Amino acid sequence: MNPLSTFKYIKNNIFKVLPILIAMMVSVLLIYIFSLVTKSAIDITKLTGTNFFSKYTIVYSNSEKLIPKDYLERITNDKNVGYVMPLISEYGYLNYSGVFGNMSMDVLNFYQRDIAKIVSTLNMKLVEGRLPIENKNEIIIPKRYALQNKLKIGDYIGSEVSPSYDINGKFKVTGITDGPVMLGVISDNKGNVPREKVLKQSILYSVKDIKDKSLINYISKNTPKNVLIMDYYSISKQIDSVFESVNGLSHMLNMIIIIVLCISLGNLNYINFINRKYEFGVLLAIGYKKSTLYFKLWKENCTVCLLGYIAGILLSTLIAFVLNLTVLYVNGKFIPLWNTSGAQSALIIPILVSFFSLIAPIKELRKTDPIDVIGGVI
Amino acid sequence: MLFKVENLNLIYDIGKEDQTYALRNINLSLEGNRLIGIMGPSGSGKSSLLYSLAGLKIPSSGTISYMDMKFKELSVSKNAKLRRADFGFVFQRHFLIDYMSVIDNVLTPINDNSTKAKEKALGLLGKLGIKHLANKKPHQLSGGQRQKAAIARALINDPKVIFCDEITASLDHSSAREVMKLLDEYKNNALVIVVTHDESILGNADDIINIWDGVIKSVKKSEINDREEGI
Repeated sequence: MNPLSTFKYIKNNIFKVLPILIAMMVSVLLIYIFSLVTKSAIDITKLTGTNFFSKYTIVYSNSEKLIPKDYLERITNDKNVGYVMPLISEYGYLNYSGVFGNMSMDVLNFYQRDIAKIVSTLNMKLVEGRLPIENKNEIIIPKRYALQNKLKIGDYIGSEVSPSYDINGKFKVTGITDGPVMLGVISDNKGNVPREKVLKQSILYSVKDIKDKSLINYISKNTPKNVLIMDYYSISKQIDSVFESVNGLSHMLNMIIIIVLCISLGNLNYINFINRKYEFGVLLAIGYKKSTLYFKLWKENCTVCLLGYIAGILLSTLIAFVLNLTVLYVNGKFIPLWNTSGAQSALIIPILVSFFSLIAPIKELRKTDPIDVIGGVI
Repeated sequence: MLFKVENLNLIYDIGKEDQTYALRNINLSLEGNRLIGIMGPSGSGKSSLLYSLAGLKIPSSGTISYMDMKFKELSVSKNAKLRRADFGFVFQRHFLIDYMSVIDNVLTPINDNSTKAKEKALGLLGKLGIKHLANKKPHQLSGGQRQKAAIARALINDPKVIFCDEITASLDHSSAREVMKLLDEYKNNALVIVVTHDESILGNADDIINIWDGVIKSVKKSEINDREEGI
């Protein structure tokens, strides 16, 4: 390491740079943990909502009237549709409590023969038990929900068990699933409604390419009055509007932290500079240019800020890991260990602070006359 | 001609009622590798002359040329580059950087830690008798040792001119003599200019400039070292 290298300075002045490093670390930790918690909420919405709708779209009639035949044919014959299956009904919801708040998870009612296909195409794994049998009041539930509610195979859920359940009746848990989609599935057709009839009233079709919007654009524009559509884009739009305010809060937090750090670290940097003024005076006297010394100051400050940033990210990840391991996983909750956008957002802090907290020292260096320093007038 | 000073005036508080002439109408030519002393009481302008010659003080009027380059025509950046390449400085206080080891302080002007540079620095410290202190911090050294380290720092870039400002002021007499002996040894390689108010340390000086109230009163040439070049 060269005598004037940044790392040599940091190595030799570890106790002087520690307050800056810690302040940066704590600030990044705050922002990044917040972003991890937000991401956890986003991931939960993906698990309970958008991941399902990235594979399937639900189209159903909200009255006795059937879905118009030509409308159905347009869907069935579209090249972006894999297959169509009947959805007997949306049977209710299961409330899942995440780190950020509660989420509702659909309980869908299918014919028994369709359930295996649904489970496999959604990459859900049956980790325990078996799939529900038709009209036996059986249900499969996601593992996280089971953990959270301490449910095991053979337990019963439903409004008859506890009014806190948003599904009518009493259902025996026969299977527990894990995977990218959190969904409750039952098979209840006590009225023996024929499959062909349901196919005219309430369907679920698989989407081959979610980016191809031609069909969804068409059916959304030409929706009959009695028909409702639940698709990836409408669900995403609803969720995005919720998270817009969370993002706004995150940006505000970022700004507040940046301002507070610029002022506090600016003062700290100024005091540090005053203590090093003779060093810079001598370097000026022996022939270092001021621009070189400005850059030296910035490099040192920026490196300390970035080290604080890295420490903040690592510590946040460690905290998230420990929380997951000790408190969250056992309750069916989780915090992700990494959030790219959160890390990028937190990176703004060291970058801006490394510049703005140097305003006062740079001003002081600018007016430093080496003669004043070596002559003793500091 | 290494240095040429023409009609140099350095005035403090220009525009105010009480203007102070730090230097008044100085004309001077310095040539060759030799040891030159600048003598005078406190406030006589000797340090002002030294720092003007080093390009650190901007004259109020007159010109200073170094190797036919006029300082006032040089940009700030070129002036700094010149100082770093051609000049070495030893100040009244050692001004070593406290958090660096002695060897790193010595290497500061060249900001190089290659093996070659380190060997050179250790060689200089060896000549100065403080090689064994190379990895110590300045606060672990005595006053004389620190000043020796500062001298090694001034010599690391093989300067053509070494500027020394009251370098023995904070040293005891024997340390002062030792330091001056080292500079005397170096005068064959560079022009060494020593500012002091203590004539006893200038025993080996080739020339002594006496300055009083910013005016050169006399230039005493050494009889022993009477050379063709000089002042």
